[in-house]
Amino acid sequence: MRCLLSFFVCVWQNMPAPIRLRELIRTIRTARTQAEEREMIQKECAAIRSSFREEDNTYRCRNVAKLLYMHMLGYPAHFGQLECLKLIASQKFTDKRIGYLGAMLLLDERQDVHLLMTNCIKNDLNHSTQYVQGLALCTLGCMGSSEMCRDLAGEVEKLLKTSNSYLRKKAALCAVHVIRKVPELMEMFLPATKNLLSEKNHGVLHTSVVLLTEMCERSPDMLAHFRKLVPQLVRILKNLIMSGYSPEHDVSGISDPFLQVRILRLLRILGKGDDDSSEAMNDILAQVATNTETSKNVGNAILYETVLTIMDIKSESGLRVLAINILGRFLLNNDKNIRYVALTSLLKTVQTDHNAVQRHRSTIVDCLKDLDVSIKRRAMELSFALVNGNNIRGMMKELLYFLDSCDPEFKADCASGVFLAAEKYAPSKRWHIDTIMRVLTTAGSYVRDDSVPNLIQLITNSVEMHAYTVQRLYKALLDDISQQPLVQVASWCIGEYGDLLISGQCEEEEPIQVTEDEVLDVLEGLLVSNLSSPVTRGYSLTAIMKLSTRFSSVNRIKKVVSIYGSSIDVELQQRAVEYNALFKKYDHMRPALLERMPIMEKTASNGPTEIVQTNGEAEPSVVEPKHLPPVGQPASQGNDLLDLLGGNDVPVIPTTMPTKPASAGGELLDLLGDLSLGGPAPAPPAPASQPPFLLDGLSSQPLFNDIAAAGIPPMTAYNKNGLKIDFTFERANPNPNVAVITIHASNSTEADMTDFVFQAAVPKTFQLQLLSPSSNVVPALNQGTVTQVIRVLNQQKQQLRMRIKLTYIHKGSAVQDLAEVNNFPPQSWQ
Amino acid sequence: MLGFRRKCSATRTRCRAAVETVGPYRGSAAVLFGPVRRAQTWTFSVRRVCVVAEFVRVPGRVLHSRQRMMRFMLLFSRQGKLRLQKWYTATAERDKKKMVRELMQIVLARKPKMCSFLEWKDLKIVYKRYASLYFCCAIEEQDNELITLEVIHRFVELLDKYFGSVCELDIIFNFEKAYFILDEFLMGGEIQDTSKKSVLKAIEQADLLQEEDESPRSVLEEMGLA
Repeated sequence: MRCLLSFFVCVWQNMPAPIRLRELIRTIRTARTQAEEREMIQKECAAIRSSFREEDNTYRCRNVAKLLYMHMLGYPAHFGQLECLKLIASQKFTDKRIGYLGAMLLLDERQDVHLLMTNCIKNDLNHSTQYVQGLALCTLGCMGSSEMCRDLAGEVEKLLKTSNSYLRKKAALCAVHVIRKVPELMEMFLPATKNLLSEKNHGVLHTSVVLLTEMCERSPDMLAHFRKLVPQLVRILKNLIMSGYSPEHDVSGISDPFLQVRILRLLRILGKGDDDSSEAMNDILAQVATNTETSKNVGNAILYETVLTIMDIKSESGLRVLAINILGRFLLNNDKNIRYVALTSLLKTVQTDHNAVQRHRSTIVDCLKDLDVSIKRRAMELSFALVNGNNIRGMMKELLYFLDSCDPEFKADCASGVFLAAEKYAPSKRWHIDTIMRVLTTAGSYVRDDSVPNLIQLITNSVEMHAYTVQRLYKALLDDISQQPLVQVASWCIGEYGDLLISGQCEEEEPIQVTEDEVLDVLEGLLVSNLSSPVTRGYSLTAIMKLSTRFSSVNRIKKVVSIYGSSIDVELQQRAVEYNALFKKYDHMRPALLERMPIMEKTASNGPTEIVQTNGEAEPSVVEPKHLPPVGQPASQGNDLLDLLGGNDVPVIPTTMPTKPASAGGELLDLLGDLSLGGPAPAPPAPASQPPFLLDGLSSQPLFNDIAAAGIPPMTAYNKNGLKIDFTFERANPNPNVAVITIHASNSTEADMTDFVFQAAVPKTFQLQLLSPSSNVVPALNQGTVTQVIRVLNQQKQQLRMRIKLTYIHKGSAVQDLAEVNNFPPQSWQ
Repeated sequence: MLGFRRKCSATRTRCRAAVETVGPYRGSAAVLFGPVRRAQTWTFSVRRVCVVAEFVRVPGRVLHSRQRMMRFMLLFSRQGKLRLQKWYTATAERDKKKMVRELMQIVLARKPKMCSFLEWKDLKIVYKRYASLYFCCAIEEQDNELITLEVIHRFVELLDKYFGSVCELDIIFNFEKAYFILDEFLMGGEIQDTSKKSVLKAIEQADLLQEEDESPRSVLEEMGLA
């Protein structure tokens, strides 16, 4: 190898001709290690660089080609960029060909050399050889920047009108690129599109359809304009499917599937939301759907596109059923690609044509057993989408079976899917609890963290099921203590309902007979087991403690608790020490403190609202749990929340609408940002009765509006059609970067404005938060105002600008308006 | 010279401004406001989720943040060596490398019995293996995966016709030819011509043109060597 290298180095030094591209490739391929390859490339690059420096014209093309090869291998080749431009400017076709290729590979839209290139391309677009023109069009259509497109659009438009189909098809695609880059140039191509569809050449026809599609997608006006082409497109499509065998465009017995697919897509865009156009294409869609040969992939590609079109346009119901049935047939196809496509499309249509999809349920469920993971995943998603109140038992049986047998990568998603479906459609509480327990036993380590508190909450709320549940959980615990979430729920329940477990009263099932010692053995087993996580140990210690008031063997419990007073685990140690203190100093309080947990209120899924609501005044609810020993999970959760409030300097502003506390939770939590909450926590033991009181306190407290005008003058942001919107300002809160703006919307017309929605947007450097409006009706004749609070975080103290969007219904018609507000008083942002 | 330089820098700023104005189209809510005049992204914050839904489905307006097209095409070997790459949207060199590496890993790790599609970031990847080579296309959410497989197949057929039963070595040693064929078949991610014959004819004639201006040079070359 070495000698070969030195050979080619000396060849280079003695003779002017650099090695040929193929030779270089061959040499590089002989490299056995990465290092060897790198060395060769470095040598060659040095040679190429010096050749570039010498402005050698003869071998520039060869050198750039070699550079492109190295570039593909991942080596830097940027120093060839200018050389590409020189090649493009050359008169030789070979040079141009490599030069344009190099430009497409080495340059991207952000290069400054573009200006130099624009002129070359302009010349070449007017070249006498069509292949040179073709190269220029291709390069422009691949990497032209918006600046370049602006400069060259005229040339492209000219070429779009030539009779030369080779250039015409390229110009059409180039126009597509121009429009993508500079949408406002679209109109320029409108005249040229007139005769495009009467073209016979399939290349031109195909690219024209692409161009029309692009224009329709970008502008509603174009869309309306081109709707008149529907009959012509239908005719072309009809000719394609009716015409006999044409060897030039045939793909396994189907005439030009590429063109067919493109036309179908354009029809879809044209027919969407338009009755007449949809009507005009109904027949042809039915024809394509029934006449297309389905033994090969091409046929199915067309059918697939047809189905998408049928689903998107305003098609007849019969046609929609036909489409869903095609997808149903796809599900039975041997080709896995087609099954995949079917599942994806059914997933898209399941919302609109639920019943039609429902008919294929059994086939879909069968796909859960498919060998291909992508198909399995789709089938799983679709199965969950199909679950409803009627089929939940059957579907869940299948899905739980799937959960048992599926790969680990599916378990997490499947488990949360089951939880969601069970929550929504559970036929009975008992079934719900059973299902969740089943998930926890089979896929316990994959479930989300919040499933434990969720299940605990579910169990506490179904009072009549307590005995049954605790017995089931105890049995599950005897079988397997490796599934942590299950063990945690079981410990919690045994702690709470230990008395029910011992009494052996259970109506639903054969009751089990256990003694107190057996139960304590199991819980102590959890404390020492290697399988238990620290959190699980915490649960089980608390459970043991709780049992001290339910069981008679208090001494044994005392002993266990005192052992853990010296545990290495700080959490466990703290619990144990506190429980110990409870036994010693506050024994009289113990029974009251270890009472059964009250029934928990269902919290909003994104957090314990009432605590956040109380803002700084949450103090009272802190005090109580602090006196208490942390009684298991709930109390410590409470503390977390309070820490969270105390430790964050973002002020929490109570919403102006105390009547809708539940919806405020999410927003306020967003505000708290990256602090992680341990899911919906069971409420702390005491404050159940407090939220109303605290909220009462809040609503009587003066809100910002009253003190707003003190410093910053109010302004009118919008005044049109009788709707007037005033802004008042307030920055008296702890964070001076936050501007609090209250909007007051009033209505001077004689009719109410209903469904009033105010939206605002700010530039990226700001952050904006909208709180709930006081109402969505602006009463007529200025008889009242709607207020809404906007909070704007302005870290950089920039001038505040805002766009607002208003929608409302006035005298039965929907009104929508946009406005930009730039005249904020400087005090509001400085 | 001075004048030229000034013009150059003016263009540079203009270019940059142009890039920035395109920027917001990729954003979400900004698009709803039609052409964005300022190089700023407006992020709408909406109080209620249901409102967002209404807001997006404003009748009569077409969202054009999405471009329907092939984003890129890659050819790589079983060993993970890149053989051809064609990007149809402007992408920074570093990102390209990263995406190629990631995608190769994912595709090569898939078992033969799996289907040819996978979802990756916001794209759909359609790939097919021909002998030792993987052909891999990235398409958008709305595109037809099945017809993309046909596009790949058509490209393979063209290579096969051109090289005469093509193999990986042909593509390695004649990579520029493979690019020429691809550029004659696809442009900006769309098919240029649905007829195999006319694509191949164009390539052959361009090759002839190339030979014409190469032949006198080879004589010169010989003379230089002599």
